[in-house]
Amino acid sequence: MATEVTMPKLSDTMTEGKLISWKKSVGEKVERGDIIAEVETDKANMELEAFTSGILLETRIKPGEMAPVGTVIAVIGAVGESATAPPPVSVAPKTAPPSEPPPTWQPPVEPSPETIEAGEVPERIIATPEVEVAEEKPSVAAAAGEKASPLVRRLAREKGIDLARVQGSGPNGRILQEDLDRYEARDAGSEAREEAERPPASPVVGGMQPLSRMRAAIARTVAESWRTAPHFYVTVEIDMGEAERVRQELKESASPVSVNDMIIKACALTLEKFPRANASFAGDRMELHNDINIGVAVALEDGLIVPVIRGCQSLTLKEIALQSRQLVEKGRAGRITETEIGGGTFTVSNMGMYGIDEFAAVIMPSQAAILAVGAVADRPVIRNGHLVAARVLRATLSSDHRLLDGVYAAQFLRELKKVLENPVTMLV
Amino acid sequence: MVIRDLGIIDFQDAWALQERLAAGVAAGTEPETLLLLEHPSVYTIGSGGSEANILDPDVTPVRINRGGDVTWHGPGQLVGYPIVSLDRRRRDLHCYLRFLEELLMAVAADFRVEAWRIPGRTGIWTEQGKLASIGVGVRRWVTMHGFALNVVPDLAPFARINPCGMAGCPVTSLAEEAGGNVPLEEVKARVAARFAGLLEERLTRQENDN
Repeated sequence: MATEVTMPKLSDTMTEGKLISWKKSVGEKVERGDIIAEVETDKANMELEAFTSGILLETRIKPGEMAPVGTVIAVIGAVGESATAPPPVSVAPKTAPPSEPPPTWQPPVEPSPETIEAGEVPERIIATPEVEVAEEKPSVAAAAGEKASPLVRRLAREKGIDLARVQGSGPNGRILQEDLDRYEARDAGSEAREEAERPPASPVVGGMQPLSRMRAAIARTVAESWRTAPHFYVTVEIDMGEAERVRQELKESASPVSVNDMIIKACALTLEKFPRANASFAGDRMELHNDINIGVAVALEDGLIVPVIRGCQSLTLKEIALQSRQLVEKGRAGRITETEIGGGTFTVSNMGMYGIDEFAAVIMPSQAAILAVGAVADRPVIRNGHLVAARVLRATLSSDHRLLDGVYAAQFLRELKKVLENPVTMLV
Repeated sequence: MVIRDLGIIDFQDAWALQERLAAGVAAGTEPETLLLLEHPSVYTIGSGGSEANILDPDVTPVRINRGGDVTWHGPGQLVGYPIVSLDRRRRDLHCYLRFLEELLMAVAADFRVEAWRIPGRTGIWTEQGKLASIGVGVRRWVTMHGFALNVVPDLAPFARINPCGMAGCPVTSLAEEAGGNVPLEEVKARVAARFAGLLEERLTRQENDN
């Protein structure tokens, strides 16, 4: 049985690695424990050991090439055995501009683990089990066994209702006309849902489109997060009047910062006090991160990337603004590097510029929470018993319930609100 | 944690010692060790480094099993080779690199020099340039190689290469930053004083049977 050798995960923040060299050549004998390759991530190299003995049948990447964590990079098998042929390369259009060196494409032997563009999935993604839609069609005989009057049977036939699925409320479970009505009313909703979930029986010509690599990466990322992290949401209203004044002052002194920069800075200050919102859930423990690396979701034409501002705990508002601007520009231009989108410990997603009041976001895998930020808008508030207009923003924290609870999220938001409503604390 | 001061030692000799200790640490027969030393002038290059970063054809670097590109070591530069088991601490190379950076930043701060990280450019930096380089090799989750902190070296040898593979990368030293002489022995003492505690804090050793 051939054994696949995958790009190892050498750090929680590693998304891909560079193959430095093969220490064995194809066709060469490999003993368990032998060093077969050298792999680099950041400024550290790891000598990769074989976990099985056999013959190195195939290497799938060349020295100097990058591969996402979890990608099969080599195959070890018995003499005479051949490596499974890689499936044909999909023709998904590349979303990144051609100026960027193309990432190594690896044939998806597993559910394809490459995550180059979205970049925030450090884990190998496990295929979700096929959901059996066990819509057993009752047999004709069974249907005939239902107790119902000929009138009800006729109505059911006309409405296309399967009597076997209708709960009868009459004597001995006899199905009455009102049972049909009830069934119809209740079922209308769920059938519509089923329709939506089921792919159309035959594809509409011209309506199918292969997933771009970015689309596929996003699909895997969010599905993974949604499947593993139980999300809950807490929303707070923040008076941004003072923050906007500070922003105006900074602008006049030629230090432009955006509302989003202030939110990032405020999150960094808040996360220092709420370490669980800056943690990763790791099965039997939670990993609290020393660094506060805040990702900023940036919308692209078909998808998004999340450049990460690292070490936010030691950055000034001005430095955050500068880095954020550079990263967002690079992201939009498709010039972002792998390190610039990896290692996030928290994310801010801002849809304020799209006029959205409030929304909830999906947590990035391995992170504890994400802050969804709406627009700053004029809203009526009561202050000292008077109705006044205030510049209000709504922020919703999506949290992983495995790591933190409702009150913790509420306290986090209270602190965030305090910082943004007293923005001077962000300037010191 | 054993800390050994090797004084000035030839690169190859120190490498051989590292290899021996790394095998011992992996086998559990040697304690985790930090080697502190200076090398006579030598150029080294990581396994994935590019020869194109050597500007002077007379420079022949030693190619070694670490990450990163070409660099120079020589008198006045404090080199640290931690041989530690990440298997018994935490299997996370990035975390280990960030620990080395934090250690070096703290030591620089001991001499009133503010240095920082630049994301994506491992090492520590000041306005003047790179103050310390980092390049690590790991076998069976035991670390080798490590860091080189410029204390009072002659920085001219860096001009013959693109340090760490970055063209025009400026290099600085603690002495230049502090604006005066910084005794290497004092820096060595600060590294020795801080190393074990910070390592334990950032990459806590897991208790096991032995």
